Amino acid sequence: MAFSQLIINGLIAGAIYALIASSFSLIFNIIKFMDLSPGAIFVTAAFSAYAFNVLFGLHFLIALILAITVAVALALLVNLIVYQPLIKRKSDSFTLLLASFGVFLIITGFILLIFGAEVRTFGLPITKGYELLGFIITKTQITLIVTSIVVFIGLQLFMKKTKLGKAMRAMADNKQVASGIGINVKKITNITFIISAALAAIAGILVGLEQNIDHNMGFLVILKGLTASVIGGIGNVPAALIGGLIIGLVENIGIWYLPSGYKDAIAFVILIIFLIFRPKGIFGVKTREETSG
Amino acid sequence: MKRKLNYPRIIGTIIIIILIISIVIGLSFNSQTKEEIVIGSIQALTGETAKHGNNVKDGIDLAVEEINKNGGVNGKKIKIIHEDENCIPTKAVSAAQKLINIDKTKIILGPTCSSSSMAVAPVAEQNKVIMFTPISSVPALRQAGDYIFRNRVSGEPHSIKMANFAYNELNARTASTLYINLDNGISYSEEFIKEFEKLGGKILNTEAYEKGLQDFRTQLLKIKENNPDVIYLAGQASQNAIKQARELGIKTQIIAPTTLQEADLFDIAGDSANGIYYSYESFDPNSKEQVVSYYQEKYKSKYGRESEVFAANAYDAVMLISKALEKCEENTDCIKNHLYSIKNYEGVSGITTFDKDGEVLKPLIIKKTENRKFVFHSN
Repeated sequence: MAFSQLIINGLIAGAIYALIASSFSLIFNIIKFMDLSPGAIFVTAAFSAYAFNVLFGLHFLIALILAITVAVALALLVNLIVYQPLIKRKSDSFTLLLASFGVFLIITGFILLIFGAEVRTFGLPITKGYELLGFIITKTQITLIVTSIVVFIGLQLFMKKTKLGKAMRAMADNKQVASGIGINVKKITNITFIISAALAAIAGILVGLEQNIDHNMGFLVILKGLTASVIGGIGNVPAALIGGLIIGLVENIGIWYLPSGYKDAIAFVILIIFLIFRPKGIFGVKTREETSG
Repeated sequence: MKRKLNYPRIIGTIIIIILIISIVIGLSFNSQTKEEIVIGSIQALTGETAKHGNNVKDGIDLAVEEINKNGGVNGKKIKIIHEDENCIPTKAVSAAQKLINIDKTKIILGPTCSSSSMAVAPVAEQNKVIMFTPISSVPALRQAGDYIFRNRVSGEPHSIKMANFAYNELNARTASTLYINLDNGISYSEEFIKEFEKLGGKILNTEAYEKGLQDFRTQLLKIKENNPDVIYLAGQASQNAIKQARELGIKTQIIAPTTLQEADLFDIAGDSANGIYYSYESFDPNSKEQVVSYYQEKYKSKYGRESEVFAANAYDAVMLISKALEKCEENTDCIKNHLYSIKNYEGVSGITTFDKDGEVLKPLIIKKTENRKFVFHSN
């Protein structure tokens, strides 16, 4: 009983890390810089969904769509007014990283200004979860895990099978060549930001449903999301999802045997081990053409 | 040949000179205007502990407003400078340094969080600045210095009271603790364990959670496997733990120290938060006693809601300080001695006495959560 519950606990945590890691990974892979703003998009989406659903009383599904729209619009705006001017000036990826950290602080600061520092909730009823195969799981948690699986498969198919996905992969491989063979770099960049923001938004709303919402929630997510994408193999989108699941599992199984205060430490010890012994991540051994990213 | 004048450079130099002069003048004016007494306040105004920090801030502001309306302290108005510590010790220390070195305050109200108070205490002590925290409860603060005071009963009596309640009233013989991995949570847990074991009870396991983390499932699972008679939930930001315990089908009696009573407990944990016993300061928000009802009326008219205990603690702290200031002006040695001498002061937050370590003594009660309300249970 305990062990199956432990695995489920790990999967729930992992599913959250996985979604946000894929959001980071997508931008890193295609636009080639570590963008921290998905951490802020994550918070924005959670608060937007809360505002539309709880404050304005809209149906949850409508609130969900509106919140994702807000998140995507914000990501495109950030790209337009912050990243594009920097990229045009040929800023290096470190400058972009710092700029994105600034963006993260500004957006979360605005959220603090608008919504205040209190913790918000969607006010879902709290009941004992379903008992299945010796473990207990709630509806929201099932949604979380299923969503991350669907996103994983969906992203795989999108990158491999669709024209857009192939164009994105081409751009990931070599921007100059991609542009040379007629791929619209600007359009692909925007699409990358749209998908990345949508992933972060879905993660934010699900975390809001499962736990609660506060303006600080983005920070931990950045740490765990980045760790997950490094472990999976940075720049490899589906691998980032696997990385997320691994962290979730190892953290939870780890504190079963170790004092629970070490939970975060476990995740970061794994990160350091990977950085030293396997900096390309689990799936980073193959050449880029062979992997899907 | 004449050299061409470099206008931008000259204008730039002039601007810099003007700036320097105005800063110097500004600073000297700042230290010269002594028509007001500047008091610093360091509170957690953002982050998970923000509710507490803001309640404290509200209590302080109300007291200051009242004092200033009645003519201030010996004719001088009190000016409060609030700084945010976000429950991060390093932030609290820089705030303290700013208040002491730039604003020249002799008194700091706060910090909110125990870890921050522990970090600020040596800075205040070194500068002979009075640090008076309205709500930090970590026991170690007792030894933090002569200039360090608090207006909240330390965590130790809370944990001792709950250990006795669990053993004697709930007949619990085994217990597990789940505590926040911060100074106050660790000490709540340790004091509870000490007392519970002294009584003859057995501690099955102790689990920690990090501030800001919302996933308690594996810690709860470990507790569930041990199946204790009670769970002592020690420290703030544990609302989600209560919710997740219910989701995991844990029916064990939960008990807690005063940190349980948070305004958003039932928003986050809903009905699963019913039936929890916890220790609390004897402050009764609905008390008919004149001191309390008068205070409550003013608080309600200013903020539109009822005051909880932390705001009351803060309000009392300001009142105590203003009395000390009346007698001592800003001489902190005199203020310190005055505070030590306070016995049975009838504050809003309870009958207040300070012992020789600057530790406050106030009576505690046991409360219970019932039908999404915090109600009195026993003395």
